Amino acid sequence: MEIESEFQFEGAREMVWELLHDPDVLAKALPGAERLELAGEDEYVGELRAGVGPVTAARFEVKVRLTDQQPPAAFTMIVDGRGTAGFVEGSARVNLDEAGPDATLMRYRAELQIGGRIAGVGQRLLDSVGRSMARQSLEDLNSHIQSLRGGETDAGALPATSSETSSSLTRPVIISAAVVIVIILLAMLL
Amino acid sequence: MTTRLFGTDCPRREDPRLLTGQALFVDDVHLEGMLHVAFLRSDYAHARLVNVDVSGALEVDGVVAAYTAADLGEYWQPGPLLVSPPPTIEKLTFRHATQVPLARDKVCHVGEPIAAVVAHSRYQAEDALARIRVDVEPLGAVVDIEAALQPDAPLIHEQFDSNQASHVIQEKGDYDAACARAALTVQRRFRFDRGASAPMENRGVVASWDAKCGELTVWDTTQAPIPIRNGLAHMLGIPESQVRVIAPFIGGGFGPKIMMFYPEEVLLPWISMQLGWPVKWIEDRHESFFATTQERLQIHDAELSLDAEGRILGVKDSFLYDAGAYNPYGLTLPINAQCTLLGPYDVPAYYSEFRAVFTTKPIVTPVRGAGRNPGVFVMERLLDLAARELGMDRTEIRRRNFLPPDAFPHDHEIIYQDFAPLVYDSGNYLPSLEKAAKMIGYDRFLAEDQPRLRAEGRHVGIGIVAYVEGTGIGPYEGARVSIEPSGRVNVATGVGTQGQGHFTSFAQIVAEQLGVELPDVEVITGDTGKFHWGTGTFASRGAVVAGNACHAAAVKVREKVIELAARSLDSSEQEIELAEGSARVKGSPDRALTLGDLATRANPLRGAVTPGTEPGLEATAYFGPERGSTANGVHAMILEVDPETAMVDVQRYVVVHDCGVVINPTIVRGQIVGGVAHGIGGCFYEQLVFDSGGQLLNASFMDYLLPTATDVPNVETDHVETPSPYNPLGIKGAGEAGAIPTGALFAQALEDALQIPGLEVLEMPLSPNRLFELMRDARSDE
Amino acid sequence: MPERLAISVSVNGERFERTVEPRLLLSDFLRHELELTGTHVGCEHGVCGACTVLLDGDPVRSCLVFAVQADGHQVTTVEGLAPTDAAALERVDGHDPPLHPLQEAFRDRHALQCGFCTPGILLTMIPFLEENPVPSEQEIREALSGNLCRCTGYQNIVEAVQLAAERRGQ
Repeated sequence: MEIESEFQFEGAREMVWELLHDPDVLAKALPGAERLELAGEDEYVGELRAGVGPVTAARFEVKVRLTDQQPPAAFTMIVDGRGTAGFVEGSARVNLDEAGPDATLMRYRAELQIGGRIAGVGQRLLDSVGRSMARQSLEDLNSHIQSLRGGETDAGALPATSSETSSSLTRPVIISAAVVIVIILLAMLL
Repeated sequence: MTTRLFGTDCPRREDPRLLTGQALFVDDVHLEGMLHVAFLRSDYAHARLVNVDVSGALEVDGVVAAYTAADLGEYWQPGPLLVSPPPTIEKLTFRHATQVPLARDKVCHVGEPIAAVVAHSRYQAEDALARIRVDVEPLGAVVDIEAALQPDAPLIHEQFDSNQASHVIQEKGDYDAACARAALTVQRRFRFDRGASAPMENRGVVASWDAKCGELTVWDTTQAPIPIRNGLAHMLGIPESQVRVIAPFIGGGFGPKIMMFYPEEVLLPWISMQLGWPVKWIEDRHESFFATTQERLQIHDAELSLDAEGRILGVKDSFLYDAGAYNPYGLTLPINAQCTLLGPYDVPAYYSEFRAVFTTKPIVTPVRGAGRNPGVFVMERLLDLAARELGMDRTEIRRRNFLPPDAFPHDHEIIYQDFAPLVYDSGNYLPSLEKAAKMIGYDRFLAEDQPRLRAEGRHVGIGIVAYVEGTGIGPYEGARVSIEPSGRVNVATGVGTQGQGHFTSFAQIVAEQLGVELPDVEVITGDTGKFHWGTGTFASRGAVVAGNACHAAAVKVREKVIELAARSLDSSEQEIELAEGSARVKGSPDRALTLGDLATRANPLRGAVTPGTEPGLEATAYFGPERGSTANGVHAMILEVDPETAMVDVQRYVVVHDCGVVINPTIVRGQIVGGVAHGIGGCFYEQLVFDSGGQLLNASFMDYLLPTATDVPNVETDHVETPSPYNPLGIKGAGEAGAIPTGALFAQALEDALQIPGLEVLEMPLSPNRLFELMRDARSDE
Repeated sequence: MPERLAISVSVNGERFERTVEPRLLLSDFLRHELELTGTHVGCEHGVCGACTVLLDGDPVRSCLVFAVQADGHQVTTVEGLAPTDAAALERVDGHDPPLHPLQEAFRDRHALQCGFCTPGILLTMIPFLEENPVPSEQEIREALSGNLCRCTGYQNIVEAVQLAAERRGQ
């Protein structure tokens, strides 16, 4: 199964990067993501709960390995997601391009093999539900960018960038990779 | 005066129990202390198993045990090769790989069982499945049957050098010579895809080991309980007499509930023996899409050579057959396709070659039609194409090529699935065609209705196709008929029954011989505790083979009754008649004894039974036909296509069928109509869709659509009766016929309805989406 | 261990009190707890209709209802259809059980083969006939289209429903 899509963030690439590397932001923006953490160099482990149609609240363990990195513009991810309802395996290539002074275009192209129950009974719903859920997550991230750009400091808003995470170049890449992967998984699994 | 029962429409004996919810199905078996089994199945189509860890499952509440292949020890064996290839075919290579109880080193299709969990409830067992860790190393899936034969294809069974399971050539005459003098040769590629049998009842097994008696009882949704009993006894090292397999009421079979030695069938008895408790496993619908066998992907490259008058000179066919991950049924299906392709026609030269191919998809075994459907599809489509080229009517080209009534028995000079030469016993094909054409109003439709409808902008078409079906093959079945002192007649036979009405039709056969009423005859099928010789219900053979065995046993009992009655009534055997539950002297109704009285006399409490005779009014008899009997028929339909949506509405459906002598017309008609519905499903709705990773994408009834009451038309039926000379009752089988020609018919009627130049229907099934694509492509070529 | 709940369900006029897990399906409750195995389970996802029962008179898929949802309600299964009064028993010839008029029509029209889907179809068509005493063939087919039958091709089922309607009108 191939997925190809793009999303334009209304913010400078640096801002998108900074946002994407904040785990708290991600956890709030991504429904079902219960855990996102580094498991080693260029490796990332997460856990999410997702359901589609008759497959309810299936838990997936997700491993992501990054290869072919061209920071901060592009990278390839090898994905291995497994759970009681099936598996998702494959790779995705992600590009972040400047699309203007205040716009960043994220493009991703994934080749995934979905297997098990999720493939057999969820197929019909994957595309439409998945796309709308993925878009919703991205919209949430984007509106957070807007709130940051507006300089709002509402206590209830998602936290801003911390200096700790921005000190590393690798980490934001990995986390953004994870975000994209989780979004793709959601597109597939939800 | 005796009442005629044979050949009449008696209401079914089994219906009251089924209608009131009192009939016992396998899932209805409830035993004290019974445990429930659930299976962990592979998510991968093809992968090496690195590690399977069930320790987490054992911690779950209610779990009693969990097993992997490693726990089975020597009990872990690949299943038997159920049907070996015909030794009578010369040009044949064959190698087999059969299913295993639990995958050990690798998995070869999605849904292959890896581990079994036993718990106090099914709910708990399924909870525990989520706690089993399986580490795999994925291997490439093998889905496309052409790619499967390429040198770079992943190897499914590593003991072989390729994924080719078999290569067979059968031929008669000289096709090349026939082709050289042909006025017309049509050549096309045809594709017939996979569907599910989808009985409403999924499979299930209950096994109960009684250690004190050393007895194993198994309730199994099998079409063939006796071979299962014998096989289990052998595998488990128990005497056959200590194993009882019961196939109670079965909620539909349609092929895949045949004797398989499915992994669950082999494991449940073993688990019961390990634990000392009864165990139950009931397949859920999702499991059934992987764990139950399927049919029928074949790709044919076929050609038909004819003379200028449309007479067949020869047929050449080369096809690939998708065997699935394992091939326990050998070559039954491709040989059926190969043989049935010849149909009711005189084909002087035939060259047919096939390759069976292993793929990483669920196992393929017979489903209603059993390979015949693609064979009929290919031949009928070739005739339609040839008729169009020759400017000839579709019925005329068939008429010109039918074997004439004096051509029987007709030897096609190739070998059939039962290893015997393909010899048609009897047939009279033209009347079926003419009857069907008349019933559907073929000439009037083409001359008047269709032009009028086309003028109204409606796309309505007619189709008419012919087929034969080899039925009623051996080896044999048996039956025991006995009369109790109450006058009740018991009939026991080994075949299982899945809705075919055996409780009634076998009772009709026996009641007719013994002069009793239907309610006095109790038929038991599918319980090895009651009868343990025979094979099973498949290949449209129940009525033919077991029916004739019941008849033979009833005739023997009748002879015993008459002999004893003549002696008891001081009369001669010629003077005794059996009627109304009594044996009486013709013309002297007061000189009579009830069958019950005679049964008591035949089993005396004092005095000796005469040496050389047997007590009781009981007899066992067997029937084994030398070869099968060939049924035939003609189907016709009128359908309308909406050219915008590609939705199809089947408006009329006519079947004229010849299955020899009919025991119960209502039951036969029910079999035909049900088969047509299954066939319509296989044309338009039902296709198992696999992605390139071997994942089935429509594994539920939400996505795999069975035809509903609004999709299936009323079917108008009529019969022609050409008795089979190969069995005393003259019966031919009827169980699969309805489904066999439907694809060919649907294709022809669709083309006739659309009449888009260049639109040829060369594949089945055809979803509205696919039909839409064909229409679009043909129009863009215009 | 999930919390268990006490429920009281009236099935075919008889009251049953049981303590069950909240996740227990009504179909499993009927079949395994009460051993009323006439209700059959064909797909477990609400498509095939084999498990249809009446809940307070309305047809429901018992595989899509939890037993706890039936607490305090009336359930009718196939076992509860046949008349049990003395007059009905008197009409019975031989050893066959008494039948509901729709069950009789099914027998008379050979509307069942394997019989697995039959209980669900009876329990779908009985309330249908209550609401539509004189249905057309098309209305019957539409009402039947939520129940799958693999054996009959539906034709004889439609005829049996028509026969039952005719007999009822007489």
